[in-house]
Amino acid sequence: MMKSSKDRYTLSNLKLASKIKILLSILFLGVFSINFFESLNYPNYFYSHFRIIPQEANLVFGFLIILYLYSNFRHRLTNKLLQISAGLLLISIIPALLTTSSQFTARFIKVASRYDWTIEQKQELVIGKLVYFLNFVKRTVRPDSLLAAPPESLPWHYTGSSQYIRAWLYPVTVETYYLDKIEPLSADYYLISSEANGAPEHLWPDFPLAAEKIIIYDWENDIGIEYPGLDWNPDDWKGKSVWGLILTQKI
Amino acid sequence: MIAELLPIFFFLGLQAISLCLFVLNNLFKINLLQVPVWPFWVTLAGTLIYFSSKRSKFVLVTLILSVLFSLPAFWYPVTDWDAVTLFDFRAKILMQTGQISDVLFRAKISEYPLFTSLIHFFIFRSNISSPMPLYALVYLFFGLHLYSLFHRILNVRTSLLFSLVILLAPKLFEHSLIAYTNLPYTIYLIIGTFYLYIWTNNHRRADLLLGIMFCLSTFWIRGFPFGIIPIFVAVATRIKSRKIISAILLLGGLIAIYRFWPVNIKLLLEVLDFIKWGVIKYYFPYPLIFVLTLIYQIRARAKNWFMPATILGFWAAIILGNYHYALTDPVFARIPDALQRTVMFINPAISLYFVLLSTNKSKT
Repeated sequence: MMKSSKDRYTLSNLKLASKIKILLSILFLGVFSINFFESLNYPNYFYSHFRIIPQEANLVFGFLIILYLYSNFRHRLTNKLLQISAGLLLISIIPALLTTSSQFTARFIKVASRYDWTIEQKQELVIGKLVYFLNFVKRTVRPDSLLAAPPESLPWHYTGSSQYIRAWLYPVTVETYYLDKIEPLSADYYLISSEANGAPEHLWPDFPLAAEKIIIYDWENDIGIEYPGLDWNPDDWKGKSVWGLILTQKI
Repeated sequence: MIAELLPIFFFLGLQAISLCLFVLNNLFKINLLQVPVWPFWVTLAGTLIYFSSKRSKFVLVTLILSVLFSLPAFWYPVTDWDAVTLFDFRAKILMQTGQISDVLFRAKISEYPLFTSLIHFFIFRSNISSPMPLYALVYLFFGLHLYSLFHRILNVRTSLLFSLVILLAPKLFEHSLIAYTNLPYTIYLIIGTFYLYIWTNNHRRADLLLGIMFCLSTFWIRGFPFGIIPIFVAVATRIKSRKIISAILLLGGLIAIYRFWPVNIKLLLEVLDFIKWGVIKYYFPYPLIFVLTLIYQIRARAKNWFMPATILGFWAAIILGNYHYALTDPVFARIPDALQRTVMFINPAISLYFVLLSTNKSKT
């Protein structure tokens, strides 16, 4: 039997409550999409393209939900203090729900599109190209050797952290150099670092050293270029952004 | 019942694996590389088969959710600083030497217990290249555990909603892909607190035991004292005399003052300022929700004071702990992120307090 025009499920025949539910569902999808594309690309992706800040869209959506819940369910929570608390909790968790669900979904797509990445490529996302240099150092130095690293201060954020370098190069022993140290460490190797970390570049070691050989890391080919019998003099290398190793001359 | 047993098995199973490895090497001097991992996996398979025979649909849903949560996590390597330099590093040393004594140089075991490091080791020994799924699964099972506990007194829809409210507390989801100890610490503490809260209502010995076990488990994850607070408060709720409770609180206050005497007021104010912007402002509006809910509890004369007293105890411990740390480190406020991570359990605790009170269950 055909339905009459009065009974048909058209938008104009729907009750106001149903219309609001549909509107909120569409809004949810819209705000979710904004968060999803932001998670999939980079922070400020949506702002740079459409001048929309996802966090603000989430808050607006959160307020709409609170209004909806207040107008429909306030009899369930009659106390004003609890109503305010519930509102505050909702304004925190609704944006969290949007970002969490979008990040979780985006995670699948990101992983699926990068399923064949090597471990170095994944690590590169966090510490940059340094991963290849650290792996080169690990390949080059003897496991039972002592390596001197830059002092634990900026700009040597990674290379100046004995804990970080030690974890990467284990079982190599790593000691960071102290700024006020007069006598050079009797290390087997010195790490050459031009780490800048946003600060002006500061080549290290910034003092001369008697060397058996200097190995400069070639970033493009992931190999070391050796300079046998050449002592380390920082003035010779300044401004060249060199990274590598100094094999010290043991007396 | 199965809905609750499965997460209990998961969480206490993790504790059992790590403690077992620790005891085997530390007490019986067995090299960990000689310890087979298959008995653990056989036990897991056997348990799942047993649970399936009882409630196959629930086990199937849990398995599907587990795959869904852990699958993308397999892609991620360990990259976060503390994990690279400590938690995962210790597991990598163990993979080479099999001796716990070889990892002790890195950090004090009392401050940084071996829980996650030994689980990482167990994962690596099982030929799984990344330990990251552990954290995704811990997050998922936290949700399942909360659901099962709410479902004891509430219907399915409300239980799911309340579990979601707690799961969405700040930082928890973010930490499901960070190999730090903060997420497991938070989860064991909150589950333990929840069990103890239930015990204050029903006085079932099993809930008390589980609450104590979960709270004590936190000491094997990080060397923080928060786990003792819910246990202490739960015991205090059994003391009927107000005089005795007042005397205990007074004694505790006097011991704290004696411990930190002479109090450096300037430093204490600096610590309070650090907590104000580092925690209260950062986690706003959760602290305000706590205050409003507390006022409601007082006005409504709700009788069960376990949750608010526990949360107040957490705040007191946060202040005292930071003051204690500030005495030894003059630049104590340089890593607010570390403090925020450490105390991230405060938000799910506040959410839990709110939802429990709003269901009127605390009035009884």
